[in-house]
Amino acid sequence: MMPNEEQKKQLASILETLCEELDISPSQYADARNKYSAVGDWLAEEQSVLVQFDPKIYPQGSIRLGTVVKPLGGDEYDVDLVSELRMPEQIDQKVLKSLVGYRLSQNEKYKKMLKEKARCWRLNYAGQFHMDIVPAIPDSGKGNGCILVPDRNLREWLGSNPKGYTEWFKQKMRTREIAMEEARAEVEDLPDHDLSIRTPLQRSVQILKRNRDIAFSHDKEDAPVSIVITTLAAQAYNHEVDLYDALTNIIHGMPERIEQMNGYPVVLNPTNKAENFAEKWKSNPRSYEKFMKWLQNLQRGLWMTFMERDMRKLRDKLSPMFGENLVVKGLVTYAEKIERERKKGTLKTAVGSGLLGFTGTTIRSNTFYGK
Amino acid sequence: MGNKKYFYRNKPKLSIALQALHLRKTFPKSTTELNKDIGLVWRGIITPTPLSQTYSVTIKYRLGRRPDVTITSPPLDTYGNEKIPHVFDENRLCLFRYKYFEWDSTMRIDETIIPWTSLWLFFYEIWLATGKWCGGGEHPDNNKKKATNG
Repeated sequence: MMPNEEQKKQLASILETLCEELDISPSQYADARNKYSAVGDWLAEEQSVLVQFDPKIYPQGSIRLGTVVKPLGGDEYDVDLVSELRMPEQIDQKVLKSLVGYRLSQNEKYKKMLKEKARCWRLNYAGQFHMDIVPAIPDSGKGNGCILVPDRNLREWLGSNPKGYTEWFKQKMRTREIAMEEARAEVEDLPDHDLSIRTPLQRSVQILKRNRDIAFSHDKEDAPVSIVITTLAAQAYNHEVDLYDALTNIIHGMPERIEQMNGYPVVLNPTNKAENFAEKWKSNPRSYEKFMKWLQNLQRGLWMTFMERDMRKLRDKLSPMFGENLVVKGLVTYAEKIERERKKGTLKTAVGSGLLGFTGTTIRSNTFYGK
Repeated sequence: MGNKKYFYRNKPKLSIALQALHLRKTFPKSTTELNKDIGLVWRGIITPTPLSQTYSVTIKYRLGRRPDVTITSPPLDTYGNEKIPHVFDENRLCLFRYKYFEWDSTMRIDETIIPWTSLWLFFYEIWLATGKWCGGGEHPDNNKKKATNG
């Protein structure tokens, strides 16, 4: 059954609500920022062993891109950070990492929260965040925000460019933002509503990541990597304003954006073509097949939500895709938004159908009663 | 709220014929009968939201009485063993309180009762899907306004 525009819009609103539940709230983000700034201050203090290297700390990954989703079954958000030190390429990767770890452990508080990982240091703010601090040096040959980070074995440098990638991503999502602002101005003025406006591309990436988390919850080894999802989605996005259209077009368009190199499917870093985000597909071809299958399943799942009408059936269709607890919570939040609109006097019913929405007769104040 | 009382006295009650006129105009696909004994009987289809079910609704109204709103199809369901919130006698909807001067016979049914029915149906479906009634309201035994959050 073909969905009409109103049905797509309503599903988009409900998906939007799911994303809001998964996203990091403005206050949590501000908190994270305060905490990592404090870490940065500590690393850059006068007595710090690192001070001569002009240490800089900044976020990378989903927190920087605005595509954070709360991990499945976990309480803590992942906050990825870069600790960039002005050192030459000749420096040993192990030494670089040790220096950062050493300075962190000199702080009593951080020492208790500190955990060493293969190529980063993790600060565990229990119940709130994992802060993964990756030590890096500037890539003097390239400039422009390009950095070098140690590989997992701490033997080689890998090129990266979180700032450049973010700029690219923000460019991809920016188009038609003005039209979006105008559309939002009518609807989103609820006093306790989230302040950070996420674009359709950001929301689509969040939805993809969440569905990936659910679909691969028992198969983490072969799960598609977030940077691959994010890059392909940004490349497939085509300025759509409506979230449903953006999402379905993105899912449809992602496979076409995969390039071939030496007989392998690759996803090259758009800001550094020497870097292939989809290395895993080369070493594990099965994970590539699973990636393609995953997209097909998601495409079909979304389409199937329109097959029947009823909030219960919608819950049943969305739960296997995004998690039952999230979907139930999301529907409640969605209904509460409608109730707030009604209290404000902005909810209306359309002439002829009684359809709830923003056109037609304003619904007057009433109190449901009875047992 | 005191003001509403005086306002009410000055406005004329809408006759059943006038109610029927407005109902037919606003909901052209519905049927409205005028019956000497029963009064007005309106039968229509309401779909609260684009992704909601479609419901057959019957409203019976006699001048001066509370409009009687029933959902004739599909049969109302329950969330487990819990009773449906805000109904009389299993399937007659309770949509307003006289106490708060929310409705009286000077008001148009098509502008009040029917939109409230649509709203009730939306919250009813959400309740079936989540176990939570998000539309506020009161119950006869505690007379306190229910919080809509939490």
